[in-house]
Amino acid sequence: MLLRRLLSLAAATAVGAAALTGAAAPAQAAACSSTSGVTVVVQSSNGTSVRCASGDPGSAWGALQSAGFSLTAVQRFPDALCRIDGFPKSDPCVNMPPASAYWSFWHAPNGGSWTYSQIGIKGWDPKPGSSVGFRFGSGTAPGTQPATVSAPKPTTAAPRPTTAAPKPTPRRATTAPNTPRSTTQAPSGRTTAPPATSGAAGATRAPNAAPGTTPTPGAASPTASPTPSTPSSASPSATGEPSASASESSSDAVAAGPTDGRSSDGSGGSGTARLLGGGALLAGLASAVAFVGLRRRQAQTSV
Amino acid sequence: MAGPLTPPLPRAVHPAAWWLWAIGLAVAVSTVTNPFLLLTALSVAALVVLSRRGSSPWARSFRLYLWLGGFIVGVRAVLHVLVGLKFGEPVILPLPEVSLPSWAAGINLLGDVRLDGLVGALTEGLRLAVMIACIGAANSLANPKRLLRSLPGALSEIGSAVVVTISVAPQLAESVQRVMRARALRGDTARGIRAVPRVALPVLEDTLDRSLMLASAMDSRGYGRRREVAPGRRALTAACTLGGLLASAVGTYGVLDATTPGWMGLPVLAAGVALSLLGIWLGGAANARTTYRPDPWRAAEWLTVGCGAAAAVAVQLVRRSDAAALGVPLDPLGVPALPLLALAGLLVAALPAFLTPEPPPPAPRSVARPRPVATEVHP
Repeated sequence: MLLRRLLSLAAATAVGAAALTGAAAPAQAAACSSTSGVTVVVQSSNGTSVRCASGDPGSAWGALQSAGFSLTAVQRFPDALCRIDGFPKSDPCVNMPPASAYWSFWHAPNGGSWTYSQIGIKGWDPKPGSSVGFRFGSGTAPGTQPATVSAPKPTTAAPRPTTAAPKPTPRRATTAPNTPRSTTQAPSGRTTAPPATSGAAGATRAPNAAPGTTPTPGAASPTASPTPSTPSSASPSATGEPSASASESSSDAVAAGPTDGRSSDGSGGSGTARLLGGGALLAGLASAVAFVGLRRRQAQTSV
Repeated sequence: MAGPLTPPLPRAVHPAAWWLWAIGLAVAVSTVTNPFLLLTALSVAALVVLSRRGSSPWARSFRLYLWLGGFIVGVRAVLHVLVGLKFGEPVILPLPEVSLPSWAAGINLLGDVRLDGLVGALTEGLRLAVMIACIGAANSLANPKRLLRSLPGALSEIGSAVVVTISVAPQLAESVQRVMRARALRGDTARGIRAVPRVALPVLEDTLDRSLMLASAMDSRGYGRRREVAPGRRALTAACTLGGLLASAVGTYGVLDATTPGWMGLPVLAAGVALSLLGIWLGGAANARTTYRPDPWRAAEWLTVGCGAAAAVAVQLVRRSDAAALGVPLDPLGVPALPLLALAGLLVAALPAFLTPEPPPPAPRSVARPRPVATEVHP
């Protein structure tokens, strides 16, 4: 059980986040359309969110991050996931979450079925085209089927994929956030293309999304929208602007993640003060112990 | 010394008070991995032990518990290097990594040792070491024989059995010495493995003789005699004790397992404890026994227990409000917090070192040497 919980990570408040930012992420608001990305399914009592982490993330943790989820680790076991997008709030994230309320981590090959992962979230390297799933609860599989995707020959107009194709490969999305503004634009262009014929977008997407997300009640119905789960997906109108901003924010999050974590703890002032204070306290206590021990020994020898 | 009143006469504080104090301190530490708090608790335990331990042989056992704690921290570090989860940034010891086959997936042998993960493992080990040091403090502060004396009446027979058991080892050592000395006087100087049968048989015989002597001595002093008890009452006692044990076990399970219904947790546990206490009280009435000079329970005992409880409560309050302050930030490794309330609670637990009466001074040598019970008894 402990192992299961250790392996579990978090994925969460998909709905809220999806409605606000995530849903607008470029080509990420639904299962991946080709084998050039990892489909990320996050399910909790707040709803289900299916997104695509483009490229080949190095770990399931990285896939969640590049799909635009914000993650919180367990303080004592930083390889374990505690919260996804701030859910659950009630868990203080110091000890391992209880076996009845944790993010269980599942993975599935392309077109396969969910398998409870025997490997930690930071240790699992998802293959492009496969799926990773996170369900909050007591270790049941996600209700959404894993994605079934075909080789990177999308069904959209022939020329577009070629412009879009380069994008998936930059798994170094972290390095790219600023400079190649145009390239981040490019994928959005791919989603933008449909808005003119937004019906067409849904239609083209349908073949991919539909088989993938059929069984879930919430997910299947609005097949037309990229984020099937959220009816509020004003996202389909993921036109150029919002998508660009969202892609920016998500890639920023990825880029910021590793760096600002380190820098924040380096904000030395209070840290060194605490170190000095704690050290002084312990030194005082240790000298008190030594003093009492010596006095006691002298008293005993004098008796 | 530090008391506002006149310094109390030297006397031994009730052993149960020391145990409750130590358990309070151990409970306080049990959810903490913050090294500041852990080392503070360790210093507090050491301070109280050094200033209030008696002169008995087990009073010097605290050092052994410290060694055991150090051993635990070392084993934890070695296990971390072998199979631990190595996370974090700076690699401090590059090692090759061995992945196990799929049936043991998720476990990697060796691999680069990283600072963050090692710090996490060491603090976890330190937590267990400090808890063990707390128990060691209780062991060296409280006289186990006096603790057994103050057991409730229903458990007094178990208590005497335990006392007889723990006096076996020193008696055996003394037997061996006597037999060796007798052999030396007769000119038998065989040593090593060939001497074992010639020493073992007399020692065994000696042990049996002593056991018989001890049994007859206890019999002549009225041990094992019981009052007449009505059969109905005896059945009630048995039902209370057994039912209480069963309910305690079920209740403990309910408290620890989050998936059981709520009524199976605390309510059943409380009912089980109450039933057990009732059974002990009923059983005690069947025991005709008086205590010679019972250990008093006065203000110093209350103070000791209260200080231990204060530490546990303070840390628990911090855990409710700011749980992260009780740990070490590992993901980016950082300086742990200094939760003042928890520190104050742990420092309060050091007060018994100054406010309780001093232990009685060691008795003169000739009397201090523990004499086996049986030698005082002649059939």
